[in-house]
Amino acid sequence: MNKTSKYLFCLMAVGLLINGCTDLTDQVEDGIGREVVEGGGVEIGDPGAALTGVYSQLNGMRGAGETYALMEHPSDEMIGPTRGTDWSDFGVWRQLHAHSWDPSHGQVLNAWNLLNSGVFRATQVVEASSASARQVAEARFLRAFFMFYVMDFYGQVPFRETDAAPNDVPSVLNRSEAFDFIIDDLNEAYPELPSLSSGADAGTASREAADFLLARLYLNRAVYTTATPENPSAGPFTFEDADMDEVIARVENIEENDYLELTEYFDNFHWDNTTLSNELIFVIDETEGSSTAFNHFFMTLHYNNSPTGCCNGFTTTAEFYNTFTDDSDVRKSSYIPEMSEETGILAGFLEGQQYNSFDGPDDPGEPLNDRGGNPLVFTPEVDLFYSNERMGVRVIKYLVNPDQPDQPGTDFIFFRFADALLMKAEAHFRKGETGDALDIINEIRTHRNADELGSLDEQAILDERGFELYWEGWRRQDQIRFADFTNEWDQKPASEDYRIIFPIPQRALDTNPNLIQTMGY
Amino acid sequence: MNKTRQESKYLNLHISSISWLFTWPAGNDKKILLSALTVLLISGLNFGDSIAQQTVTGTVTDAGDETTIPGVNVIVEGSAEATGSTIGATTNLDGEYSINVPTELNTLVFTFVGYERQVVEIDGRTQIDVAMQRDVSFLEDLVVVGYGTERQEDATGSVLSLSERDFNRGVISSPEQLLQGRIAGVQITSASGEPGAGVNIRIRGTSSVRGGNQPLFVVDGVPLSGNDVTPGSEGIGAGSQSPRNPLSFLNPDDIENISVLKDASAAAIYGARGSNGVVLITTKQTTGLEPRLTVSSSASMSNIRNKIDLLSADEYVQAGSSAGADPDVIDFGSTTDWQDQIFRTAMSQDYNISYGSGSETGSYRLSLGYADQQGIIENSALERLTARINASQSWLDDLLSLDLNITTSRIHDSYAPVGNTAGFEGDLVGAALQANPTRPVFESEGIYMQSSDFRNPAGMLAYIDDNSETNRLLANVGGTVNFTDWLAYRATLGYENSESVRRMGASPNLDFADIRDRGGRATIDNWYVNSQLMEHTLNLQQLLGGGEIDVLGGFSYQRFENRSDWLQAEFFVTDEIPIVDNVGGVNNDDNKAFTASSQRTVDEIQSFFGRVNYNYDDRYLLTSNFRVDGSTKFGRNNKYGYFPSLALAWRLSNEEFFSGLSSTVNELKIRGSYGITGNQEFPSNVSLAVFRTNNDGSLTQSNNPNPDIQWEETVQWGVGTDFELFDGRLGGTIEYFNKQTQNLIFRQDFAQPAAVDFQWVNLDGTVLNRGWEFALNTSIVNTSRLFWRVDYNMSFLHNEVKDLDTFVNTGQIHGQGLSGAYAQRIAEGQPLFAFYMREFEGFDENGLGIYANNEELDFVGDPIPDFTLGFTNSFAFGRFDANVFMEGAFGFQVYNNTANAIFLKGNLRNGRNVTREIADSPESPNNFGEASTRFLEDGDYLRLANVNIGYNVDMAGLGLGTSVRNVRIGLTGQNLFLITNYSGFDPEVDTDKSIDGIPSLGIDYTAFPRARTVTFNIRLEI
Repeated sequence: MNKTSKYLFCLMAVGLLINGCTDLTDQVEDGIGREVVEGGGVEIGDPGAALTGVYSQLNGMRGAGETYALMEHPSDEMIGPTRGTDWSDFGVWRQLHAHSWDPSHGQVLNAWNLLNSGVFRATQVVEASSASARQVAEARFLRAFFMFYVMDFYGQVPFRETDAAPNDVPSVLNRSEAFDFIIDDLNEAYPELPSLSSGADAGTASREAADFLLARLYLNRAVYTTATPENPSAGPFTFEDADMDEVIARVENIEENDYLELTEYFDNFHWDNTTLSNELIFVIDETEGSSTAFNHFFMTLHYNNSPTGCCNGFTTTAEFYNTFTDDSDVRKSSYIPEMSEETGILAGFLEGQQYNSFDGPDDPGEPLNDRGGNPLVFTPEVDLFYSNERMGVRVIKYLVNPDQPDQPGTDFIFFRFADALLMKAEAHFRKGETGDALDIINEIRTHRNADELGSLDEQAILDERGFELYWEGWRRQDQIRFADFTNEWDQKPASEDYRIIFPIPQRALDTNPNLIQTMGY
Repeated sequence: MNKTRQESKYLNLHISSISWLFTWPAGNDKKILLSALTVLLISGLNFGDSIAQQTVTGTVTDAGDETTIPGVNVIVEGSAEATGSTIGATTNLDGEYSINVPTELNTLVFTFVGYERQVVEIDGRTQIDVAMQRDVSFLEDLVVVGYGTERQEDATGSVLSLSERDFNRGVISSPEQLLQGRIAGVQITSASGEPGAGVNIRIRGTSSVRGGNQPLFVVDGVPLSGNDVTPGSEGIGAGSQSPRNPLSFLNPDDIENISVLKDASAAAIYGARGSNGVVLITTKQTTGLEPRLTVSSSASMSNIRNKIDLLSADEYVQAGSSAGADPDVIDFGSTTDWQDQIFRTAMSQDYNISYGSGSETGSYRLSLGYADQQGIIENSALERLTARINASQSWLDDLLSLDLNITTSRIHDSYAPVGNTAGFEGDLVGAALQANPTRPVFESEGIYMQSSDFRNPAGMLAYIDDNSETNRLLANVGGTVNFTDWLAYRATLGYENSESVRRMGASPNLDFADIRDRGGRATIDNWYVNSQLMEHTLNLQQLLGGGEIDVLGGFSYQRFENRSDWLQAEFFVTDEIPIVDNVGGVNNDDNKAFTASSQRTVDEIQSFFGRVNYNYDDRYLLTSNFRVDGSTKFGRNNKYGYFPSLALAWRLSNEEFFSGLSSTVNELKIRGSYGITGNQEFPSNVSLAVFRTNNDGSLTQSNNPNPDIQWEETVQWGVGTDFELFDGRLGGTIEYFNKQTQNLIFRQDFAQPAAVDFQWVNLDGTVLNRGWEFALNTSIVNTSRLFWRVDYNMSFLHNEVKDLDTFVNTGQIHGQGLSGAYAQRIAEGQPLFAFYMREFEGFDENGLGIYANNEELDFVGDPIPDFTLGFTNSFAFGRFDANVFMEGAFGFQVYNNTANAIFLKGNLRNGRNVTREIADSPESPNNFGEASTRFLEDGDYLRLANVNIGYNVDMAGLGLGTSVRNVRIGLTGQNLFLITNYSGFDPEVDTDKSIDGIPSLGIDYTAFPRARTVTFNIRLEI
């Protein structure tokens, strides 16, 4: 219908009764609607609120699935065994542990979407014309943070300019381009970022957080330059002294901040860790009443462990648990009065009979049964396919807040001071400065009430990182860096080299022809 | 020119209502309707003046039962030519007529819908009594079509009309249930047996992946917005709950007629909303010159048709211990039938009163209805109060007329915690099926036994309080100006408003971790749905080139507004005060006790439309529709959609050459149609980049804009034939259709990095629906003593997705160890919602599942029936009548998610009950229940859906006089038996198991079972 006749008709309609024609403008009533301008591009409104939105995107990383699942399940420290009718879950957990995931794996896709949306949101702030220098710096840090994981997991990074037309296909950075892009972002952000002065600050981007991420990047650089989607090699890797010097320098920057120091181990994971811990460098800042780290004990405890009544899922492997030979090490097991008295749950590794309470470290209350009535005794052995309810040593890292188990208010940790020290030790070791490395490691061990080590080798460093950082999301990277990731271990056969890079999710490949699938998938 | 047709359209007399009068038992009220109609029709005509006349009087009776027939048209043949106007009369309530006949004319013609036309020569008589034969012709009906009515025999497209006598009876909570199974090509499936449960109507298949698949509903000319009006919820422990049916606000007792426009030629007049077919609902008008009063009441009793065969307490302990549980621990010593704890014998009642009156120029009808329907699960109910006013009036010799329809309703829904996505602990039904039968209901007096690994169904019922109230108003007023006898203008204003609030409270006594630890939870959810309609039409009817032409042009504007407010409160200080009534009673200082949100959308549709009907000599018929629809939802680059259609029909039986056959073949018509319709059911504002604030102080982009987004387009063609043989003893319709839906509305993956991982697009690809529809009607016995008629319909449907270069999974499976599992995939070459899963081959020697093809997933079936049928036997003998209706669906599968989640040997070891069948199976307790064909079952069923027996009391015979027109006593049974191999409650089930909003189909997860119901009904007409 041409315009003239349309309006003639409308005019007639108006003449006959009350209404006229509408121009059918699309209006958003409960949000801000912006038309895509010619040539593409949408300007975001309030950069402050948008920056908050970038931080919110981190919340997706604190659950038991998505990124966390990719960081942990493919390693030797976590396994999600199928227990009869429980936890089969379409095989996702078994596939992760057995290194048999494929490009349609749900968590591989979810992590991709989570991280890349974070990159996009951050870019919107970085490029917002009204954003302050500090806001841009924080956004750059966050973009680097999300992009670091994209690069680490997938070996390539898609990138979309905010002024791209809606249906433009994003370009793709290869692994070393992405590495440089991240380094540039962090260096550009650095001068505008504040320094940490309390645990509460660790919820925002800081120079220490940037230093930490830079140290991590350089520590892993050999992996990123050697293993690419075109040629996914599983090591061993050759580490450049220059990179290791950069790691040491960055950690030294962090150490210059007097606020940061080693803290009582489980205070780092206490529901009040904002104030109790002096190790927090980058976290999701939470207060009691908000829902955070509970997933991390719900996912492992048995239904009959009080007070959570959930989910009897993930455990550690017998092999990993057995590396923990020093029983005096507080990291292996600790009695936490305010938690253990009420819940019967200890911190660290839970093996053996479980109880409903502990009046003292050696004074357990009623023993618990499983749902079928058998004594609830956690045993180290675990079968990936056919476990019963009791198999597997459970791991309590984040403490159970007995008052608010499902909203403990614990800050969720990404970067922690002890990790920075261990990175520095590893860098020294890789440069051949074993004595410096041993000093740092023994400093930490002493603090954790573990015996000092007399000597150091690669395995000892990897083990020590395991003792200190188990279930904190670093084990996969560590095992890759130590060329251990594709070896055979408990409930996992030796796997192909390409498993050190996750596949590009099939749905991502379908939407972006610039991506290439990692060789082997 | 056919005067009757012309007048009827302009007077808005709902002539369709007479369509059901043509058969038995023509109650007196129906006849009165006709007399009123006739009076109106003739009122504009002149009676002869100065011509020599004779007066003829007489009585008209039914040749069968010899009762008198009021409202019969008596016309003097040739009077129009002789005097310039038609001379006619109608019989009064006693069937008597009186007519003045010019002396030069000698023929009277008696017509009455439902009876054969009778021609009588006067031959000088002054008293002529006539006995009229019932006409069992099936093609004489008038049907409501978009913006008008037409004679069924003139129909070129596929339109089916059902009126009261064809409706399903009994406990009916919404109008679609009146039609279920009765129309070929229309599949109506209720999601569950919950009172007021959502109903899926699929007219000629399912054509859309992401757009809505429900047809457009038009009530008395007002297209409804189609949105849900009551909130669904995240039910406590039940997962998500689907909203109840938005159409339950219409009182079924107010409905006169429902027309279904199946093909594009009929539906194209509704343009971008016509793709899924159109359902036109016409409400009752008073039709008669006398005041009328109708009172009816019914009482029903419902119960569950079959419980699931679970282990008894003793068997359970034994089976549990052989599965590896400690008998001392799993035996709590009681014997509880948990199914009995949640199911009940439900009592329902229904009352209706209506009265009205008519004059020669107008009429009104007022009605009040009250229904209280209990569900067979405790706490579930639907209580409805409705009021309606329908009125019409004409002035100035019909130059101007107005009509008005207003209905208002208040619905109180009560909900049991039965949902779609419960986790392993189960919703109410799941918890009752898996609860350990040795557990007692109560731990001690008044204290429900609950624990972290045991949901007590009785406790759930006691501690969850969940109700909603919905007030809804639908009003329309229309004015018609008849400028001349060939040109009329009509304006319609429509207004629809619904306000609904759902209040749900879960007591802190409920031992679910998230409720108990957070001091209870109350939510208040308000929904508002509003739409406004304005329409203008011009209608022209003329003789043209030896035929009749009927042209309609119109403009329509409709605005829709949806909003909702949601509040959640937790951390209640006490539960002594009902928490939903006291949401302020929380500890907000120490906790984040409140969460809230609200939302609002406004959409507009603006349309121009037209239609041409051309009827050449009742032999060649043409209908062409055209509609232009513009919508705010459409992207800037595609604001207007164009929807044309064309249909042709040829009535062979009216051809000269056919005359030799006409004694056997009374009617034979072939017809074909082609048309394009649209579907615009996708979310608002997807053409723009939308930024929203969130409750953490952030602002984020919530979509990826698509300025090109447009309607989904369905191209449909079809051919059909309507026939009537042996003096109307056998009639029927055979149709073939082919529907191709393109530009599929889809929430497609969007390349990262992006604000979100999807974008709404029109996807390349086609959904094909093609099939055959058969409807046969035979009058087996048609005597004055006994009448027996059989109506049979069946449909064959082929559904296939074509040219789709992506696939998408849906049909999320819930239950323990089933996170991430899905059962369906939409993909090229498969039917929509094809089942996609492992193929189960049995258990190995260790009792572990074996799956074919190395556990690869594959296409293994689909939930869309290949074949559906409806079969009705109607009887009348004397004052009794009966109607037996069966329906069935064949060639489809149902996924039994209930069994997948609950009925596994391993659950015995976990302290939960299973079926006897599972306890006896060789399955190992270590086996895990992968989603597989183990739980995919054939859904074929045949249901005795509706049986009615009625008796019309002989008031005169009882000496009660004739002041009471009719008293009818009836008994109805619904869902009396079901033949199926499906192991769950009912194979007609559709739990919403969508993934990211991609709907699923044919999955059963602890669905509310369908009831078996018996209703006693009495109806009194004065």
